[in-house]
Amino acid sequence: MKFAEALKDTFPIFISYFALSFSFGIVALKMGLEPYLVILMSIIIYSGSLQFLLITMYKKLSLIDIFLTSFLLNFRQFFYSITFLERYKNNFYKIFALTDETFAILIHKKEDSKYDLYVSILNHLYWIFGTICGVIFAKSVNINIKGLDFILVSLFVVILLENAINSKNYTSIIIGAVSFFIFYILGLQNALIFSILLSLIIIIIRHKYV
Amino acid sequence: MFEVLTATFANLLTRFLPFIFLKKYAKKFIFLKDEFPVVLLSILTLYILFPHDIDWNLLKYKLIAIATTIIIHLYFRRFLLSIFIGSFVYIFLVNR
Repeated sequence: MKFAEALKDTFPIFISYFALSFSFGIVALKMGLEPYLVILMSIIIYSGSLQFLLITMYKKLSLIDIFLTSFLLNFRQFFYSITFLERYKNNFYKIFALTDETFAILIHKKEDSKYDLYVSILNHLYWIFGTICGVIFAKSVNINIKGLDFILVSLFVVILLENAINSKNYTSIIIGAVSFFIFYILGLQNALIFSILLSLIIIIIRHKYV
Repeated sequence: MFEVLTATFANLLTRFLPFIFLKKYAKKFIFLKDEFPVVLLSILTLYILFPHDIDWNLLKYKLIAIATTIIIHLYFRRFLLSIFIGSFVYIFLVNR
């Protein structure tokens, strides 16, 4: 019964996870990644924005840059985990599978360890399934369309927009843009990390003194 | 492979840190909650848009597609719809 309920509640997630991970599978393969690596990413990383970002950073950035960028990009999950500290206690899998969408479903529901687990597993499976379908599709159909990887840009634009609207934080966009362009114009090797550090410093100063 | 494992480890850390450290300590970072994601996302979006080997001829198509994405998203607020229409506009423009 609990399982049927979880299946029903996660159906909208199925649609959006499938569409996104399917596109991810195609774009990742087009970028020349090995199929097993693409599917592995969906199993052990299981984070859309990070996976898309990773395939563009692949072989361009050092491991340290990848580590810092990945950590900071998904830092929001830190706050989900804080919210679920007592609910999840020490269940490794459930903590691992706490994505934006899983969080969004569960936060409105009363604690129920079985239901929580079903929702987590189902969403994770949708994500893996979509990726596998995308990989198979890209392997079997010879698509020769330019610009498929633009999906990464529109994905980030929409996530940025959603975050800015929800937190009513429009000055932050400007702080980010300024931090980025300063180091971009300087043309430094590690421009990305420097911009992120600069923006962090600005936020902390603003928090302390403004 | 190492890239994937590094990202995996970093990602796991964000999910597990509050369970490793004490709750009280984790709460000290709450002030970053609203501002930092927006700042970081704007940096990353620009980073994707302006790679080192940027093709300036394509930039105008990208900006048109981004404007479309934003307008569609502000109007409908449907995640997938905005992403796919935006991407479609770009793919259409570069393949004409």
